[in-house]
Amino acid sequence: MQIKPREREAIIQSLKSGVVPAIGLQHIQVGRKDEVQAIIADLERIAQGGAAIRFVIGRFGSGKSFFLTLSKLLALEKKLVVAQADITPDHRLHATGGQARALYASLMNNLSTKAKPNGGALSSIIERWIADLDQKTRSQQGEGADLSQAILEALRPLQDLVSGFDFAQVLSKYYEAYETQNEQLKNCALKWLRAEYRLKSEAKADLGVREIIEDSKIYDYLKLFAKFVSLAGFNGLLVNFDEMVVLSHRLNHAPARNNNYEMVLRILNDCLQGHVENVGFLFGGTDEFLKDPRRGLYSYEALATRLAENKFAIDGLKDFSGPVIHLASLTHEDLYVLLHNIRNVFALADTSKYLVPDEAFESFMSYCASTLGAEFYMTPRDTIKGFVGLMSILEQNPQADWKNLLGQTTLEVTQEPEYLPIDDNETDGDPLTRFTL
Amino acid sequence: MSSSAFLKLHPAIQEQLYSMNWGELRPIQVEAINKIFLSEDHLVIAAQTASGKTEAAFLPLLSQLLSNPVSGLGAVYIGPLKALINDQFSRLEILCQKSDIAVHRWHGDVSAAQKRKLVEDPSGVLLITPESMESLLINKTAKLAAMFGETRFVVVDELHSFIGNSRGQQLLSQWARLRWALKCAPRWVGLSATLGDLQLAGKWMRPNEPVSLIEDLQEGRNVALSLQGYLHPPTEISRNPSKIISPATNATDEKMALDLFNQFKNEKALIFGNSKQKLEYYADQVRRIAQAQNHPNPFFVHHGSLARSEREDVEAALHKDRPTAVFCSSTLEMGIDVGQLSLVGQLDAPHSVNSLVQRLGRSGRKSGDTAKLRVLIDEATATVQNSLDRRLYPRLLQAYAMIELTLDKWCEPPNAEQLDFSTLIQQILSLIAQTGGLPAISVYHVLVTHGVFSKVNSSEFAFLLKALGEKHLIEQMPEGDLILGIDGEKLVRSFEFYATFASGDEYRVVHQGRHIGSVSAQPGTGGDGYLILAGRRWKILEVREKEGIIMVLPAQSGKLPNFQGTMWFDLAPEVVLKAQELLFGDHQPAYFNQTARHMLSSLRQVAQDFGIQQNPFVLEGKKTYWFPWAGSRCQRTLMGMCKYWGGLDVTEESFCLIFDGASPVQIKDQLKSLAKQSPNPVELASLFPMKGLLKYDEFLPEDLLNRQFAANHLNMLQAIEVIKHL
Repeated sequence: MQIKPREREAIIQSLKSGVVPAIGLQHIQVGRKDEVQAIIADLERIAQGGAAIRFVIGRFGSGKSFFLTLSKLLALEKKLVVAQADITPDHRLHATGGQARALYASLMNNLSTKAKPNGGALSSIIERWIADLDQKTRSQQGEGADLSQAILEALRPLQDLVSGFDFAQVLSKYYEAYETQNEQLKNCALKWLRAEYRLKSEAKADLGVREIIEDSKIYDYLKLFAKFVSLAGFNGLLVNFDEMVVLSHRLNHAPARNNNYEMVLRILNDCLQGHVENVGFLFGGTDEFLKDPRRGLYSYEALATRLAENKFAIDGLKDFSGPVIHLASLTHEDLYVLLHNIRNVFALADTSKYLVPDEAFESFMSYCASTLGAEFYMTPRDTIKGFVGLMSILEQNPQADWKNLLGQTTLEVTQEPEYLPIDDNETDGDPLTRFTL
Repeated sequence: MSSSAFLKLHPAIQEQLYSMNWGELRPIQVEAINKIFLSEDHLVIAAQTASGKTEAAFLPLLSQLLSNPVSGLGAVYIGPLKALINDQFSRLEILCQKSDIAVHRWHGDVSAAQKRKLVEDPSGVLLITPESMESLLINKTAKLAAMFGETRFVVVDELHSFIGNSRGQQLLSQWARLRWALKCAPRWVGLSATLGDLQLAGKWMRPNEPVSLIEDLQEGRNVALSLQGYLHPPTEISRNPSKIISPATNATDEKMALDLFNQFKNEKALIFGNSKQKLEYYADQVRRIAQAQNHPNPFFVHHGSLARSEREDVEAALHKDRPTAVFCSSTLEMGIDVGQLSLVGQLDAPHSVNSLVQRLGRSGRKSGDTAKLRVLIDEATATVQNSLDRRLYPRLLQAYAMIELTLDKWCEPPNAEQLDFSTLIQQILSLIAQTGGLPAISVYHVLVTHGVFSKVNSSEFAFLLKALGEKHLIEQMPEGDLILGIDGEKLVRSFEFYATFASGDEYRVVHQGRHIGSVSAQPGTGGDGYLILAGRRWKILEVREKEGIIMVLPAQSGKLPNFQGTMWFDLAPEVVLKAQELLFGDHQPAYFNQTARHMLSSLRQVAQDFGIQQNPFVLEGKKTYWFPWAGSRCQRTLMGMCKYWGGLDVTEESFCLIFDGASPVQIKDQLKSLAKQSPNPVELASLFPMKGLLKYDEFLPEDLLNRQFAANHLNMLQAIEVIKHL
């Protein structure tokens, strides 16, 4: 498989800082074949007008975000539109203070299509739809056809859904702006679709619609949006929510948490019972998010029964008929292949340019295992960061010997970046640095 | 008005002052304007009430906000009381009339709609209490940056009311948290009517940063005061010691009520009392007198247990132009504008000089007015049958000492050694709620290293975190971040969480399952003490702190009660030394009435008869009275050493310790040998009962509770010093 220099750069830079590369994932992906197959089946079902829901569960650093990004790339390949957002205390599924609207806004700002894989695809999706419709109408009715009538006609299927009328009205406003090259009106329509209007009165003045996308309506609008993208020639919408553990563990308000779980339950029921079409939801979270009986999804009884594990799926047996995907730890072989792949990326798949011989993998892995202990298998993130760091040094210092460098590589267990102390120098030797309750 | 200071003000503010027909700027205002415009220092402005402090701070501050606007709130004013905030709110609204600076207020009584408006579009000046600020930090986390990210000024009103207590720690900690989260570093302006040591106040407010001090150097106002003594007949008091609780009255009570009626009926006055019961009792008495005399009743009551509407009616009555006298607790002590007062009353000895000065400051607010104060002290007539300490009329002596210190312009400095784990617990939980979770080391840095709990070391901190974990208040995520536990979530979301002080810290007194009544506790005593309640004496069998119950048995003993049914305030050493000086001196205060003078000469005679000046140990029968002439903390330490380490039978009074069955020599020998063994105050603290005095103390592990008690309520160094001189 050929590796593009652009992909190489993205992969190395991302892995070095412990985040998932946006492109080129196929070059480094290892293992989890069954899990990937399950997702591919889900995507096919969505494309055929069905629905899917998955809870992607794994430890901190086990590759949940990697898996969600991989799913996104697979979905883009299948001509789906993908919306992706992290849950934070200020971006959540249910809220009354604008936090749900903020989540929706974040999803709309992170819309990807195959042509625009890095987000920001909202206006291109709409314009593609208008162009298609334009062409279709003209070919059917000839020049001078009334496109605004055709638009209302085309959007009729949306109007059966809740809030469909307003949604269709804003889209026709967008068309009007497109025709008259009214950038300001176009921006207003986009602003409305991105849920950035806070006041109904403003939306009414700018666009003549009575409603706005509010906290209580974001799920309705996601369903509408899924319907719309399929009208616009895509195969459906995949919505990825990462960091669900924020809901269970960082949102420290029990009633708010339960309201969010109720929303999850609503989505789960709709997807499993076939009430929604052309849409899929992936929720990424830790074991604690799922199973903590006091604050995880299991604390919400209706979810606990629906998400309970198949009692026979033990000892490595897998069951993907339920909505939960447990990301098992990578095996020794998986890690070996992963390091191999990383070496391959560095060399742009040119075997003559490999920075280290095969034996380096074993040495590196046993070094990691001795430093990180059990963490080694469970959180590949830190192992990979270390290995990419080692490779970078070797690349810049061709005279260096990997065996010598290995002893000097430092492996750090990742901390959440936004809450680092004010001054790092002060943390040395403090009993609180490695504090455990 | 064309001084250079005036010209520095923004034209819109100048115009407003013209339209209000302002005369000259006062000296403190000129000085404050110059300091704000010409330096970067923080400020403390100390001046009497109604001397234009608020304007001194806000005229230059608003001018700067007008000429150099910020996004979000430009200035945040923190006040200790809702009523004060309402008052300042209307004053600031007027100042801002000609400019487009918005003025907002935020406290428990402000409507949700007004609050929402502010959160959505924050600008101008916000007036808020520390409790509401706490709620903002937890509940509006997403809006904090927009609100406080560029805040240029923090104004703390009634600064002295925050120094050295939990609320002050909370206030400073909140801004340390904001500074960490938002990198905002506003200038601080502290306003205070009276301050003991301005330097200390500045240091407390902004340690290690330059603070300019502005003091009102105007001539102090004339003070007219009188101390009125009342003596209850001796027999009556011994039979029915808790007359306040029972409706029965005696002739002395009636005399006192009649004096109150006659002296206050034509005045605009506040009458401060230390207990709500007493306030209610006398309000009822004077009301009856008014009725009997067919006189319109000008008397009202105002304290924290009354409903808001009741309190507002009273505040409105004070603004009307007719005689009004209000029996009130410390709720009206702060600088709320209740109109011009002609007289202030004080029932019983004040609990601190600070408080007395503050109360005195409520009277004669117009400059040039004479401040008028009447202090009313009632004691039971002491006879030879009474114990020595009663015969010294300690409440009269205390009031006398505090008045003299006030005239000397002294008042209590803050306790710099204060240790407040209780408020630290609140801040830990609040910070975790604010962030959604963060590593232990970050919590430590925000609250301790860069925060205000600098007396706490990291191992104590780790110990505290573990205790909170055991109580399910916090949990740890696999990657290490601390988050709120299930019980912590409940606590943080409860309405009472925002305040550092407990709202009802009363103990229910129970005898054989029967509820006798409630009392508030005083620190460190009571484990085997006595109390008076419902007109009877009780021996304390057991104190169950968690349940808030005191188990008692009827007592025969003549010992005096350890419970007073009011808040407990420690006496500063200076107050006790002043009392000693006055006791042994021959100063005849002109402001004493005849009974008070009689009481004074009687107590001086008793002191002389027993030769207390020559020998602070007085042996009378089986009892030894010791006057260590030290502050409450030191005296309590000495008491604890004798009682818990020395095994002596000892009880504590305002100015002395009373030993039963121990001679002065035994006591001295005991203390001297104890002092040689380098006594550890924390160990001593561990032997005291009832140490959980602060709101979150119930979550503290025993060891930290002992450390806190030792730091706040004991003084071993001074105790050793006293023992050395025995």
